[in-house]
Order: sequence, then C-alpha cells, then structure tokens
Amino acid sequence: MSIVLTLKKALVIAKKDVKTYYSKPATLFYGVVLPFAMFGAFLAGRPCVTEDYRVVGVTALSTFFGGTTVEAVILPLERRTGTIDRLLLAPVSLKTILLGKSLAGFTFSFPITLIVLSIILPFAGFWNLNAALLVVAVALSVLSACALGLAFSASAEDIADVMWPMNFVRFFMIFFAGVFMPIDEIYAFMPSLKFIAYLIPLTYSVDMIYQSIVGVNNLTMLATDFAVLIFSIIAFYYIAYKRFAKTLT
Amino acid sequence: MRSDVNVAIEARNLTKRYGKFTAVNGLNLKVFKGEFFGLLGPNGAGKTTTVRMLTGLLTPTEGEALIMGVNIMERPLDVKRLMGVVPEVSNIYVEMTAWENLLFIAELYDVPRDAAVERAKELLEVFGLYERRHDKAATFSKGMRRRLAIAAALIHNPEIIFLDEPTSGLDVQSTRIIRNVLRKLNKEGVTIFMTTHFIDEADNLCGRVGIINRGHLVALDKPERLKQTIGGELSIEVSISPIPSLEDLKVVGGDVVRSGDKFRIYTRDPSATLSKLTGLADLKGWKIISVRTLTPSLEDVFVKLTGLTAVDVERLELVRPSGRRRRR
Ligand SMILES: Nc1ncnc2c1ncn2[C@@H]1O[C@H](COP(=O)(O)OP(=O)(O)O)[C@@H](O)[C@H]1O
Ligand SMILES: [Mg+2]
Repeated sequence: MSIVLTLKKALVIAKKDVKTYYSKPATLFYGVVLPFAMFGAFLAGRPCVTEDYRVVGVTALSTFFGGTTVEAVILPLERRTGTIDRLLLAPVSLKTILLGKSLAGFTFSFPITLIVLSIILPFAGFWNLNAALLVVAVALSVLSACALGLAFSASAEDIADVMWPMNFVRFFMIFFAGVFMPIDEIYAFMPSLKFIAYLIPLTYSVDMIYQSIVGVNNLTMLATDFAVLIFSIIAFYYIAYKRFAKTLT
Repeated sequence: MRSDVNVAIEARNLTKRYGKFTAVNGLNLKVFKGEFFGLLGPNGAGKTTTVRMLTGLLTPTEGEALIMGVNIMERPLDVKRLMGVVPEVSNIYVEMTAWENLLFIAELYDVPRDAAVERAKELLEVFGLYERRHDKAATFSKGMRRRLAIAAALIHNPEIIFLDEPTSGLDVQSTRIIRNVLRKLNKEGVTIFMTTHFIDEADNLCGRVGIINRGHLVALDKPERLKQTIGGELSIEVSISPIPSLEDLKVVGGDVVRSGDKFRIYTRDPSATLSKLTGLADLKGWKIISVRTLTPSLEDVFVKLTGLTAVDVERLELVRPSGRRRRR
C-alpha cells in the first residue's frame, strides 16, 4: 500500500478515535485536566527553579502525560469491546492501525500543549522563543510519548493493566529526566548516575523544549535531541508492533 | 498446489492448539462459491476458533486458510477486501451513531463516499434501523446492535460473509430479519459461512452443514443426506395419558426419550413398535392421545455424531425453546 493510502487510512482511524474516545473520563482526566492542573500548580508553586525552567518542565510534562495516556486508554478499550476486530478484519495493515492510534494521541496532546503554552507564554515572558522550533519540539515529544504509550498498551486487555506498569515507568522517567529541575541539580549528589538521564527520551524532549523557549545554546545537543527523539519513536513503535502482532496468535 | 476456481473458502489441515489443548484439530473443508454453509456444534466445539483462523484474526498452529484460493496469512489485505465478517459479539462502536458506524467501516474498505451513503441507507432500511440511524448505538438493544454489526459487515458488498452465531440470544424479530437477509444475500450469489449451535437454524438455512465436536469435524454434507446416513432409524412420537414412566415404556423396545410431555421411541420398524405400544396401553389402561412417526431430524444426526444425548441437546439449548418438538 502506498504511503498516501496508508496515511489516509490511519487518519480515518484517528478521526474515529477522536470522535469516540476523547470524551472518556480517563482520557479527559490524564489528558486535559492533569496537564492544566500541573501547569497551574507548578507555576503557582514555590520557585525552586527559574521561571523559564518551570515553563519548560510543564510543557514537557504535558506532552508526556497526554500522549502516553491517550494511547494507554484507546487500544485496551477497543480490545475490551471487541471493536479492535473491526480494524483487524478490514484491509488495513497492523502498522497502519498503530499509526492511526498514534495520530489520535497526537491530535489530542499536541494542540492542548500548544494552547496551554500560548496562554502562559505571554504572562511568563517570551525569552528567546523560537516558535517554529518549539512546535517541532512539542510535536516530536508528543509522538515519542504516544509511541511509548502504544508500546505499553499494544497487547493489553484492560486499562488498569497498562496504567500500573506505565505509571511506574512514567514517574521514574519524570523524576530522572530533569523535568522538575535541571539534571545537573538532580544528580548533584551522585554525578556518576547522570547517565540514567541520557537513557531517557524525555530528557531530550526537555532539552529541545528548553532550547526553543530560552534560546538555542548548544547545537550539538539540539541535533542529538532530534536524533534520539526520532529513534525513540521508531523503537517504541517497533515494540508496539511486535506486541500487537502477538495478539493474533 | 492450485485450488479449484469454484472454491470460495478452504481449510487445509487447519489446527489450533493452546498449549496441550487442541481447540481445532486438522480441519479440512471446502466451501464453494454461492454456498450457504453452516458449521454446527455445541459450545466450546471450536466454531469461533475456526472462523477466526479463516478470517485472519488468529494464526493457525498448523495448516492454512485459503479465501478464493489465496492464503489469508500471506496476502491478508487483498483477501480481507473480499469478505465481510460478523463476529460473535456485536463489535460496533457504541459511542457512535448507526450512521457513523457504517460510514467509518466504509472508509476503511475504500468505498467511495456516494456509494457508501447509498448503501448505508439501503442496509439500515433492510435491517429496520433507518429511523434510529442518528442514535448512538449505545441506546440500541442487543438485537439492534447485532443487526447493525451485520450491516457493517455488508457495507462493501463482500463476496463472502462469515457470521459467528448471528442469531444467538436474540429476540424473535431480529432473528427473523437476519435470517431473511441472509437467505436473500445467498440468492444473490453471496457465499455464506455461518456458525450456529441451533440445529434447526442449520437445517433451515444451510445448503450444506459441517458438524464440529471437540475440534473435530465429524460430519460434512447436505442436511438431507446427513439425515439419510443414519437412515433406517425412525422414531415415533407419542403422547399418553396419564404420563407413564420411562421404565414402563422401555418394554416396547428401542431407545425411549422423554421430551416435554411426549415420548420419542426410536425404532427400525415403526409399525411393529406401534402395535406393541397399543397392546401395552390396553394392558396398563393408558390412553394414547397422539401418535406421529418422524423421519430422522438433523438433531438426531447431531445427537448420534456428537455422542450427546437428546437430553443434553435440550440442556445445552441447542434447540430454541420455541423450536420444533420442544413445545411444552
Ligand atoms: N485463547 C484461548 N486460550 C485457551 N483456550 C481457548 C482460547 N480460545 C478458545 N479456547 C478453547 O477452545 C475451545 C473452542 O472454543 P471456541 O472456538 O470459542 O468454541 P465455540 O465457538 O464452538 O463455542 C474451547 O474449549 C475454549 O475454551
Ligand atoms: Mg463461539
């Protein structure tokens, strides 16, 4: 199937998901309420880091939570109701179905993050904002999060089965990726553990968002961010595909 | 190995194992174009597993499934276009309206928008859902959901339809609509593969029936021929007042089975059995209210081949409460 057709089918599935699952309580809570609440709480909280860093942190968090959550909800729901068979029976490949699912997460989390940012930035300040780079950074971050969520949910029957392990991994990632404070500060007591941060894709999301808001300060790192995020999308997507295919046996 | 051009569906040594348990065991089967085929079997026999393998939802442990001569595992996308599938549970999107459901499926199958709109309208009318087309499927009854699921499987005008227990647990009205639609489609040349655990449904609808039990295909033929194979065995149905005990009746010989307030006596020589029976009735002072000789039914074949007793057949609800001979 040509790329155009694949994309078209994926969009058909994504559009259906938007219609069907965006109003589910779990999606709304983790995808909308939580990002807004975190933005609010974090911005109002005691400033232990600079304001620009806080904006960066919540932006990364919003992409991360929104993307992973929508994916964690949609596939298990389709499996539980049996509607996943509808997709599997149609002349659509497994890859296209997964692409559709990640697009659904993307159309959810990407605009929400941008909306919240466009509300906050005028108050917080624009620093050295590079809007185009910021849009790319948010897009890649959301896609990476979506692929991660898919990797967790690809073979799950139940939302709860996904949420438990995924929340564990998510909080681990959030803490060690420098979302709340720069990684140099997190690992100040134990600098030898800093490599952990570099194993987490979220770290590169944070850096890319940071450079696009506060100003490009390290081109090598920016190029690395690009590469790692794209690699993470492919890797998570691949895991999701393998687990998804296994459900047919 | 080229397949016959007249074969629509073929299972070659189709086998599914779950660990040590074999759900479907070396199934060989050909369904020809334009046939109405029924796979009949009790619960747990392996019907759903078979359909899922034939439609590409489940990878066989051994053997292969061919649709129009093409292995479904090798070229799934080409094959899937040709078929419409109605799974055991009505898997429509309850969050969407009937109309949205149909148009979504149409898009997945690349049906052009105009054609999809027309076909959706037609199908909703046929299935008696047109008035409710803009209601969410969540508000539909079980029977309406099943009708919508079948409509969704037909939106792209498939040449082959698979239905897994389409009328199981449905109301009378839905059952009638569904059976009529299936008959009509088959007349128009559509190949139908239906599973059912209702014996009368297989008998009334299907041109050919396969009986599956514990993963094995134990019979495969036209219902009429199947009935002939157990041949000589006829039965007499009697209703006696006051209702005697089974033991008392056994004196006349043959197998005697009670069904409701009547008895069935299986025999190779009905007239001899009948005279014995009247003699016995005189002796005991029974009044024979009605007598009927019955040629073997598909149920008899089923009972014989699956090793289930007629009592099991009733207990497992293999015939509807309203079905023949089960009136109370
Ligand atoms: N995923 C599975 N794992 C283990 N056993 C299964 C699985 N699916 C079905 N079975 C078993 O295979 C047998 C056949 O099941 P099924 O095909 O659903 O029967 P039917 O549709 O005729 O009622 C049953 O005994 C069932 O318990
Ligand atoms: Mg079944």
